[in-house]
Amino acid sequence: MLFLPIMTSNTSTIIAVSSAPGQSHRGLIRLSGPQSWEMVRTLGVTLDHPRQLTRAHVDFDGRKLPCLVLGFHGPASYTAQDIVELQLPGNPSLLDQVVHRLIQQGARMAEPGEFTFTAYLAGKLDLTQAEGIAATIHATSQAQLQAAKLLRQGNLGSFSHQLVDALATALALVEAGIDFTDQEDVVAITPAQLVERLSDIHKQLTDLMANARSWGALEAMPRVVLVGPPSAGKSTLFNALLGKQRAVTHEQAGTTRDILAEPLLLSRADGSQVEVMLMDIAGLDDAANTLDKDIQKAARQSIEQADVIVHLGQCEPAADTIRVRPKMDMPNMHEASEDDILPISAKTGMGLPKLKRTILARLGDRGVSIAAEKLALQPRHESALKQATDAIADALKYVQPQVQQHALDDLELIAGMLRFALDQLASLGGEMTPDDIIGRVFATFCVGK
Amino acid sequence: MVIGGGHAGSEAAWACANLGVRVAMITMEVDKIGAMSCNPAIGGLAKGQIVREIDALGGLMGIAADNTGIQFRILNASKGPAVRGPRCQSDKYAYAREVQRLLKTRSNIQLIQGVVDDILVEDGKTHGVIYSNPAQGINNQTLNTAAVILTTGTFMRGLMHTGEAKTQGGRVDEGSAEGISSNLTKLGLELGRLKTGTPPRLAAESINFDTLKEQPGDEQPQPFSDMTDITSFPPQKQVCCWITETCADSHEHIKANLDRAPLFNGQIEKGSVGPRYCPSIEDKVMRFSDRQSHHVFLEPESLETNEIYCNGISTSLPRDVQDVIVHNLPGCENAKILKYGYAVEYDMVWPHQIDATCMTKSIHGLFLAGQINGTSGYEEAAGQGLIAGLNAVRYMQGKDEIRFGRDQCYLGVMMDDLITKTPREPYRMFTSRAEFRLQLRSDNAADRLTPIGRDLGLVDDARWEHFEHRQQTVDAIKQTLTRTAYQGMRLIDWCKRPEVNRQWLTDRATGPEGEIFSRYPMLLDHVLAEVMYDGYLDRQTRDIERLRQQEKVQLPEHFDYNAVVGLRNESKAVLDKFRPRTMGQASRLAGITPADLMVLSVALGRR
Repeated sequence: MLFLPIMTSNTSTIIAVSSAPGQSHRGLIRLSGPQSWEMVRTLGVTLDHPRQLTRAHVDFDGRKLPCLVLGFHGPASYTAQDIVELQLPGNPSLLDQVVHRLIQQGARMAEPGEFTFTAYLAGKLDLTQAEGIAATIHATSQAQLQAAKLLRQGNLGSFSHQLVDALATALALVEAGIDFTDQEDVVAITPAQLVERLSDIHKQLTDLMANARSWGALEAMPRVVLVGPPSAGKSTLFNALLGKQRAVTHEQAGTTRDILAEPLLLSRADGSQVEVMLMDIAGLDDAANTLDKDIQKAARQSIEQADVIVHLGQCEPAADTIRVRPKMDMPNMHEASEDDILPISAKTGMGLPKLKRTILARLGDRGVSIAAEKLALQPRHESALKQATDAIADALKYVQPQVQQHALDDLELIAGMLRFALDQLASLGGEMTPDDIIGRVFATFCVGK
Repeated sequence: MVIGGGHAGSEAAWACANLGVRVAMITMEVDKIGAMSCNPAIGGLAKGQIVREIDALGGLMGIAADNTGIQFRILNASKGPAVRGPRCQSDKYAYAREVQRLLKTRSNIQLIQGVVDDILVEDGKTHGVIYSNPAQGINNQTLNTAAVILTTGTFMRGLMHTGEAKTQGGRVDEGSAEGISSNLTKLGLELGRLKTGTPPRLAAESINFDTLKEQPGDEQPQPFSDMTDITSFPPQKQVCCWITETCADSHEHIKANLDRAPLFNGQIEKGSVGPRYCPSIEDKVMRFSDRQSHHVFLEPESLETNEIYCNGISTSLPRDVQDVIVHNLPGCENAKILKYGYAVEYDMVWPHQIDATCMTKSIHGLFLAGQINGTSGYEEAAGQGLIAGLNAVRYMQGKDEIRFGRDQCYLGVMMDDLITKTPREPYRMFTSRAEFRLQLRSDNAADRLTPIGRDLGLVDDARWEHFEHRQQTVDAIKQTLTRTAYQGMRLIDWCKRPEVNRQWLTDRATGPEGEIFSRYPMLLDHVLAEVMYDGYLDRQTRDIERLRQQEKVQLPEHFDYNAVVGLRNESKAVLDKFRPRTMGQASRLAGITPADLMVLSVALGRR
């Protein structure tokens, strides 16, 4: 089931990492909603007075992490609700863990643009700002949809699809025992069979989470940023380096201008591999409006945080910059005069291996070797996986005492837990509606008199 | 004005009459009002809950079923109270007569025999219908009304198939309504085509029941209606059903004659979709070719006649193939077929074109209920009839529309599913469609709906008085459970244990205080259900609160989704097609994301 998040804003507390993604000095976690003060206190943080930036500590696995905390009481706050901002060391995986602790306390991941939207609904923003909000929500959600699509297409996708499928089948078998008992000779699934199926799904889910790493950690990888004027061929180069079509053309110019980021594996001469985050900053130099200012700011931040810049235009030589001359396949292009400008063609592949070697050289020891390929999870996906796993564990606790029985008891309660788990997995493996479940029953059993 | 006298039309007219307005029902044959075209049964899993809900809102289906039921049984009796479904086998002639009798008790209902060919619409508003009855010399007569409830069942361009034989009509020996389809299309409504089937009926005296397994009703039958007097229930003689089964020989014969089955050989219009949950025997044989036999339930259709319904072999196969299938059934070797099975295909209106009130979004005052909205089943039809009747009266009186929530009743789940999903087959209710299934039980239908029905004017004084007495009794039962202890523990705490049921409690409360348990067994079951699900209901409270908040936000009727900045193109297309009336409806459309809803809220806030 889908809920319009904002309609719940009076009752739920939303949370998000609000600082720029990636490795930085400070990370900012923001909560908004009636329980935000209370939830932060469960971390051991002392929070007494509003509007006072206070030094405090977060209790974390027995360690005490220094932090700065700032609280506001609604309605005198950005969202007109109680707000807490936690500033922590800027380690992405640490920030993710803190966010998870707070989600366990009942906080909910904010939807794209939800803080701003809450502020808008509370009358904190004027009408001219509203259009910008709509565009921001659109852009952020497009980026998230892209990310979710990537997950579905990639390793996690096929994996989660199998999981959703297995879970849907288990649920269909339980539902068959409820809704289709006309054929009384059929016991759709015995408790022992259900335990077997659910244990298998539970194991897969826990394995998946153990092998996954957070999106934040992924974004903390060394950053290689493609820079250059519009139409320099950044996106083409981006796709060529990744060896796949990742950068998308925008349907409506001027709406989607998020920063594209994708992990890229580079191989050293000794065979070891290094993973970097390749970033394409679209629309950096495009005409400005209020929205674009924000995006340009984000783009400039990305450049500032870049470990290596691949520059596709005219620029001054610098230690962290690799200058390339793209589109060497075009007939009017000829060899560059300056020695340190690398001629490349994304179309023919010319110069790309050398570019990769140059990136590795510039990174030096900042490149992190990786042992095994891990899946990258966005915080919302991680949170969904966790909740699904817990729900299946609950269902297992319920079914396990029944394994000696022929038929299941309390089917409707077990079905409720499995339905919840399935809804959680919807963002990873596609939605499964009650009608889809019923369809599975029809396909398996001859039901109906 | 109600067009059609089936289960939707009857319930619609009844609701209108109870709300105090004058209502005319135009139907092709007045003495077929309330007819059971297919299975002579009311209720079942999820459907039984719907009947209880209709009853809680002052409807007639529960009363008619109680007065004419010849076998009462709670399905899933061994399972949790949320998934138990009351069902009865009805005397189909008595049932139709009872519906007609009840309608005639309302002086503000006028029955008119005739066929409606056109609905008059001006400036997007309904103002009357044109009907004919050649037998009475009436041709193209105009009747004025501000609200029309159209319940066409299987009669709109109804076409029946038995093998190669095709007959126009919605039911055996009855006609079809040919003109209305094209007029609905002219009004801008998009039509679809569905199909369904019915099995052969056998003569009871030609069946050898001695060899067959009996299927009796419950020892203590429970009525559907709260208004039924339990002391004289059931009023009809109770009978049992029998179980037999198909065999491999029949399956082979069906396969060999498949090219003569209209469901398979293309004789039935391509695109007509039949229900997967109620497959024809040819469908079963093809889809589950490894099964050697399928159950067939032999169900008496009436105490007055010898007709036996063969539940499980609905078919469109030619008569000679039906003969073989029937005679291969154990016990039916010499059975005489009174009526052969047939498939029927009919027109319907794609339900995204109505609101949860049953009113079409494009034509004010035109309400659709029952199979015309793509549903199947008497109960589903009756539920829509009630909702359409209620909202038609409110529309005429200028009052706000009533949409039941998914958290309130199965009726709400059904309406919401119809208008937010694209149906793949005739829609039938299942408990798994209701995310708040634990709340939507037959034992608490009155708690959920009777107070609402009272506010709306559907519940009369007698039912209200009964309801208040019921609430007092429930309180008294709870008090008794709290005050009475067994082995040092209060009975109310014992209720949380799985082994504790009605009998257990009755056995342990032997004093005068326990008398209430044996006197009100159904209400004791109700209290037990409340205790059992208590912890699980808490978890859903927040979801329900969110759902209600979203339903409060209404979306404007004429809204240009294409002009909304920041909405994805695919979302624009979905919203434009379905034109949801509340933010909640929008949220349940396939492909709509939370971000879309936020963008939409921004756009609405700016207006």
